[in-house]
Amino acid sequence: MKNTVLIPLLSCSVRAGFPSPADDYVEQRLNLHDYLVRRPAATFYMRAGADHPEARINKGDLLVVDRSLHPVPGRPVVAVAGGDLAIRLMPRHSSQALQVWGVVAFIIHPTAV
Amino acid sequence: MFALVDGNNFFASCEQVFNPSLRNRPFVVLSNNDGCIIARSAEAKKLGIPMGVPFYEWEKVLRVNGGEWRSGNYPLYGDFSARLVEVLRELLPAVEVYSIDESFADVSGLDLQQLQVLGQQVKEAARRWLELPVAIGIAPTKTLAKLANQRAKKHAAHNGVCVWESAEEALAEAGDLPINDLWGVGRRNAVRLNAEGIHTVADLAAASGPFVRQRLSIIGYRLWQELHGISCLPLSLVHDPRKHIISSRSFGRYVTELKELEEAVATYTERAVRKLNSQGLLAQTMSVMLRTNKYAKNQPQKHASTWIGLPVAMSDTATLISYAKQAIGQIYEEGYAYNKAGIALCELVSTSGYQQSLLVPSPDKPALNQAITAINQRYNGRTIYHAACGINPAWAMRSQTRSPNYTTKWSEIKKIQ
Repeated sequence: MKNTVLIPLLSCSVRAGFPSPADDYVEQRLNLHDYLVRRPAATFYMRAGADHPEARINKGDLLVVDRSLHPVPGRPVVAVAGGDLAIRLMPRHSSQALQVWGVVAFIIHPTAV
Repeated sequence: MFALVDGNNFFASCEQVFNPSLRNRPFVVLSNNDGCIIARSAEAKKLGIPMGVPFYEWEKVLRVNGGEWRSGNYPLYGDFSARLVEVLRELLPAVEVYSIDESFADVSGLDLQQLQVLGQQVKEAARRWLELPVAIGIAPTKTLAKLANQRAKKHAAHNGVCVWESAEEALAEAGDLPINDLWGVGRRNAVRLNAEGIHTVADLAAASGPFVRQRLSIIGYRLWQELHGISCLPLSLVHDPRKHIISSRSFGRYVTELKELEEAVATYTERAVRKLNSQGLLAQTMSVMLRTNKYAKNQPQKHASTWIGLPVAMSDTATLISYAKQAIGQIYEEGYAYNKAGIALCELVSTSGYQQSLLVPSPDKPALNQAITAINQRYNGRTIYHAACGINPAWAMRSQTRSPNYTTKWSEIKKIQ
């Protein structure tokens, strides 16, 4: 649930005369947060401290980590390893046990640093 | 039927989410200035460390037993608290936030089986989505739900969720508990109740209504009713606007100079005004206090405070800082080693409802204050602050081992390899 609600204003003030034809089609402006974060309470941000080419993660990338998603084999997750959190690929076989902390839902890579 | 959900060892658990190395060992969280222990992991409790004790008394025990500690990180705990409430609101109807880690919810209309299932769902959601262990107590009244919650924590057989469908069931299981385990019964009241021959929860329940009404206050009677399954404390869903805002801290070391005290109250004023603005309020009076360390028996003691009636309701930081500095100058006396100062903004009114005085213009500068707020939000915390607060002041709180603000500062999010 969001703390603020953006309500679109009509595109013109109401006065006598013809209203704007766009008024019937006013929609909410696109918000990237809605796209990236499915469940805000369970979503955390982390920074990649190293390259993980197999996961297409570059050092410095912002990771959107969602604890409410189910891990997918072959896709990146945050795991508990060696007493800390680390980027890992979800194993394809259950024989390779991994303690999953959360799923890397999105990798955000800026084109200019 | 009420459910009470609360976090187990909440502050400690929050610290362990991003730091697996803090799990499965004695671990404590320290108060402001690293003075007292305010949270303990289960392993720390097993070492016999009590709540609220000075850290220095138990530091050696912790070291010897492979223990760890962190300075309190309230922004982190506050954020986890908000997340836990969001999770509860997703799963439960009508949630009342009671404290940073406890919330009540209305769970009427479900049978025993459904309540057990719901309890486990909430517990699992908190664990899965937040890595936070919680306990859930469900009973016909808030007081009994609190008791059920305690039982859920203490008795593994409940598996974290304790449901009592009736007051009789509650008393059958928890009747033997001492009276001070009851919500709302402190040490003083317990002594008074003991004098009346009431030592256990069952004793209080067994007493007659008229007896309780006569010998104990209306609060005692309400407690008695709640014990009998008569709900007297409805769910309160509306958050009361604050009657006053207090901002005060103990210093990291003793302060003797007026200039440093002025910096301190300026900082506290800034902090309080931020809270004021976030609630859309204005203050009409302000009070300022300072104090020496009352536990340092060999030092001269001083505890002074003063009130300022503001000429008009306001929230302007610069003006309030200058009043605070004037006030601290009035009560300051040389020759004392002060260890705490604070300010309070009182007689708060809403900006929307308030009638501006025609004679005294408001000093508020909304455009300036908005600009400062916007910059601080954009660039993290206190990018711009009033110079009166001092720059890297020596009297500021010690927080030697605070973990990063993983969820509230971009510059401090967890970096993983």
